[in-house]
Amino acid sequence: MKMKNFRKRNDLLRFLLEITKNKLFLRSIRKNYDIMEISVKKIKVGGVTNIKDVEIPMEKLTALVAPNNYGKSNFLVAVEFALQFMTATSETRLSMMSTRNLIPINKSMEDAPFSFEIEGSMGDTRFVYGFSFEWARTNGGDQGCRLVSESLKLKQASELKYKVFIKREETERALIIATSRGRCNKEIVVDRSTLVIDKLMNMDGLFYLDAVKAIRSINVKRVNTLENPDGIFSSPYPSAAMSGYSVAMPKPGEIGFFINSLRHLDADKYELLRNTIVDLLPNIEDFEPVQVDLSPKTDVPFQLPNTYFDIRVKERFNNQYTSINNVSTGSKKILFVLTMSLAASLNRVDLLMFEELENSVHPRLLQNLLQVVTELAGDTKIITTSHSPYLVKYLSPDNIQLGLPTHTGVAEFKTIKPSKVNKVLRQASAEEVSIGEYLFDMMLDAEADDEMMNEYFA
Amino acid sequence: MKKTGPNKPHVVIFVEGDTDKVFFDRLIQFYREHSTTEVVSCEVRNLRGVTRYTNKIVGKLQNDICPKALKKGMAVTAVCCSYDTDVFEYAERPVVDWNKVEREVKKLGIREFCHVRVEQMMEDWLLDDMAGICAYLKLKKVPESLSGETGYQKMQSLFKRANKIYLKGNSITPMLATIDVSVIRQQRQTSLARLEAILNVSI
Repeated sequence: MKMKNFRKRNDLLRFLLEITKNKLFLRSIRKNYDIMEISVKKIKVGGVTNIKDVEIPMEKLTALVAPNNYGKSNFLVAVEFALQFMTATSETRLSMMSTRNLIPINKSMEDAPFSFEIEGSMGDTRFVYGFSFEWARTNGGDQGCRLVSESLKLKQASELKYKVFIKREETERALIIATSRGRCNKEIVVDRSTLVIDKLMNMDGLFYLDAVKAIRSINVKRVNTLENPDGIFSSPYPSAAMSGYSVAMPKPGEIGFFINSLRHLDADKYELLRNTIVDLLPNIEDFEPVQVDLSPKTDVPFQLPNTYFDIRVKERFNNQYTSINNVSTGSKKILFVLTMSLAASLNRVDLLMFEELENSVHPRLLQNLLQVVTELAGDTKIITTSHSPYLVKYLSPDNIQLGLPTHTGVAEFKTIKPSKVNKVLRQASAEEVSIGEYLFDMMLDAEADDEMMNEYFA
Repeated sequence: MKKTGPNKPHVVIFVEGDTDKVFFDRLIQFYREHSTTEVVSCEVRNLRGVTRYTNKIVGKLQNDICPKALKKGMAVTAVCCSYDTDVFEYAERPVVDWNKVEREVKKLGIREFCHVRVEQMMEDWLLDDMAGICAYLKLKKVPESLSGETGYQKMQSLFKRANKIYLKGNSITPMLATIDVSVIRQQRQTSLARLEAILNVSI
């Protein structure tokens, strides 16, 4: 009898402890996440172009390495698309669900819904948020274009298990946790293009509203370094936003404006950028942004913007300053990449995505470029696509995601198993090749060698 | 008339990167200026990374360094390889098989092979003269401690105080003008002892 009572008491104590822990956790997620940095840990994308199901852990700098036309850029595009989808209006979402160039046409995944999941942390709280939708269809009367699932899970860093806050397994119905003492059983009605988090944004007293807001505001930027850099620094048609000073994330054509604003608004960061460029590019002795006012304002019905921005550069062997447009393509691209990295840090961008960071950069500069980009980007994580063994050789093998050949034409990214990293390094060493060259060879050999794929890659 | 007799010894120090190259050039200059005995002829060669390390060393010795030394009446008697014992975040990864390097070097008839192990990395050595680095960065106060686990991270945090980013290779050349090499030598005597013996340095 006593034993029975003891067990009951123990169960009760355990139950009370559980409630207390739960309350503490729920109280902790009421913090204001607007002022919290989000750290993206992992992104999972599927059902888009030739990406069936790809999961990429996000390190400080992650590289997606694969042959041409494999799906590296598709991954970046899909991530950007998913985050735009999360904040788009219902009407825009309906049109996004018909985006022709993203709908998978690969035979092995022609019915696959678009799926997206992002895992990360904000302060002490870990989150996993995801959703999926069916793409538009043109056969069988069913038009597709509807959200089919959504979920939000949160937990404290010290906890093992996630708690489900949003559970949606069908288009028009979802379950949520409505009160801090409740369970995930409050039903809410949604429609084909409405996310549950849209609805939650209108629930003012919701105790995890700040977490939802923070997830909705995850900030990802894709930088296309493959573009001709000529139009990056100044635009012949400056936008109205380019008046006064602003260090908001610059768009193409606004880099000159951004650097000029930086000089006026944040002298320390401007000096950091200036020093870094001069140290990294020995051919550049000095540079400064200039603002050019073309004509005085006149009384006309519509005054075109008349202020333009350029960057004056003094190259080592030149006898005068010239416009940035006279500098080599590689130097322009480096200046662009460094500016974007600093801008990402200032604007608290959570993930900065580069297309072929090594493009137009001499291999000898790559090591320092990687150093500088990650330093300037601060807490912003970086992912880059790459074709370069010269870049890859400077990265730790666990930060490299290799696109491995598949029999179906879908993209699959894998990394070297942690238990095999030392073996790969030893083998590269025995062959006296860089880890970059060795991994590129492995990537090609894996096509005809399933055994090797299973042994080395996970 | 052609000179006869034994060739004078010549020592080659192989380093992995620009940072080490600049430092060892400066160190050799310091030895020449301060040694009470005549320092053996010496040169520092930069292999720019660790890829194909053995092949590069053998190729350079066989085709370039040894023949040139011979023309000057010298013979390469010792090869020293300097390397960081720790790697920084964006270092090349493959590990060098030092036994293989030593074996191949000795096959060329070079008597002595020695390692100069830079513990943990060159930045740790440079930070031995923090006052000199602060003078270069125009920092008024020498910090008592720096954040970061590795020498590289500590150097990075010091540079940030001056609104700069520390770049391996690029940053060291101008910095060495204000660094006191004797302070570093004093702190790193154990690691440099063998090299100094080979070079006949006596300070």
